[in-house]
Amino acid sequence: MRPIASAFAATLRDMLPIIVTIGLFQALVLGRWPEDALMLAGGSVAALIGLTLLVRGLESSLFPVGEALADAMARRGHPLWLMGFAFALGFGGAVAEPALAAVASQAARAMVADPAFPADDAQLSALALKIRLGVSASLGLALVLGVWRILKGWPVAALALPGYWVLAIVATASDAPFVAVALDAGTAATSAINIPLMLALGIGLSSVLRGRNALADGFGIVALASLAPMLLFLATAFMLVDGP
Amino acid sequence: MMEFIAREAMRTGFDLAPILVVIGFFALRFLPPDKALRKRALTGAAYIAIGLTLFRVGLETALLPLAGSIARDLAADIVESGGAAQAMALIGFAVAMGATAALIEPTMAATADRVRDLTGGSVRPMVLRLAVATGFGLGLGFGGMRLVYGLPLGAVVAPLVGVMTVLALVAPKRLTPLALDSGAIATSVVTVPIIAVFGVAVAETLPGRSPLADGFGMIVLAMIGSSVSVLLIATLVDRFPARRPGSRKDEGDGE
Repeated sequence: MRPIASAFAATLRDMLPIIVTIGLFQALVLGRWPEDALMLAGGSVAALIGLTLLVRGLESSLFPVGEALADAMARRGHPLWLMGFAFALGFGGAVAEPALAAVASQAARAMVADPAFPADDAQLSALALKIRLGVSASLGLALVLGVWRILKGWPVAALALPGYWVLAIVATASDAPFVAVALDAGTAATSAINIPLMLALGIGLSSVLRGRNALADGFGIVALASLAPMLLFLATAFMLVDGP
Repeated sequence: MMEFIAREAMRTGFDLAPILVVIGFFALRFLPPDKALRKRALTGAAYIAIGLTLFRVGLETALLPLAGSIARDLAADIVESGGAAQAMALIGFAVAMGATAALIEPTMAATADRVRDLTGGSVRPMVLRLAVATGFGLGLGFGGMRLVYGLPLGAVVAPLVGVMTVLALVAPKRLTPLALDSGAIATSVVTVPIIAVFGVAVAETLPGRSPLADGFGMIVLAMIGSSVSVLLIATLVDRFPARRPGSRKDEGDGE
């Protein structure tokens, strides 16, 4: 692992383009400078330190632990344990995610914005909770499917592309507000913490299995994990709207 | 300010706690007691907790308000003069913001380093990250265009999915899964809040747009855009290896 000073330098290099972009649009296009320069500088320094620590933490902890676990379970555990781990990782990583809670309540509101489906606040938050649990479960199932796919050696494109076709067809056929919400919800349940673990699960598993390659077979779980919530949101919305 | 930092720390806690429980349970069951790994894992978890909290504090005090106010002003320019130049400025900002934000996405940076190790250096981290960032920016540009001109979401999503399908068929097999994943990997702690701020700011400022109906639908475009871009670059590099100077290919090119 590189020394911390050069890690900070690398982060600073990564952050330069976004700082330049904001500076250019502020100065050239809008012709003004922001007030609160001190606050902005403080925030940028906090972001720089935070980003450096975060990348280092992901690389030094989540990746190796996740891969070691997947490796040990593939060698010594029953496949059911592996599936259980995949489901727990997907469900547990999503159910408490604040971003998912926020999107679930926005989605509930977008669904009931339909005049044919009026609702009060209690119904709205009950719906949001159901969406949250449903999305978390769908994420767990997506991870189980992702692990199953690696065990079987199925290509990920054969699973992910049809999912995208469904999204494209629904988005073309319907312009209801909840369709856009649903399509953006794919990322609500995946975070900086559970994505590295999903990758580590796939990489660790396919490194240990005979005839699997970490690059060609290990990736793909995250794609399934982001499609699952989108499809679940759409299915929920259509069931609610078309239902009695 | 302290209250705000405490709130961000709590959010990080909510992110981290369930995962730690799951990992802890399965690690106790399956991993041999390895002091070095345990120490590394706990130090890393502390890095993540502190890093994520500090980063979100920085994001909310600096990056998000700036991006929001620029987007609002650019949209206000469109309302005032309504020219093509003003629309181009806003769409250009969406492209630049998307690309540069994807470049600092920590999940993507960590993944790119892991991919370098897995491929023995033949997929260079910066090439992968730039490919993702380009696609991310262009996808967000389509989202901005949709917002300005009021295009239906399907009119943008369907062609992009079509292109993705064709590219997935011709791209090198070993890179397709990584390409399909990279869109989702790049939409995380930096990019999602920035896109949300941009979408809401523009939708609130432009007349006849509602944040609820029109502010959404940008993340999915950025996601698909990144995957398309990685697929495209993987295909090009694979078909025309000589075009990348200094490339070290790990497979024979059949020459």
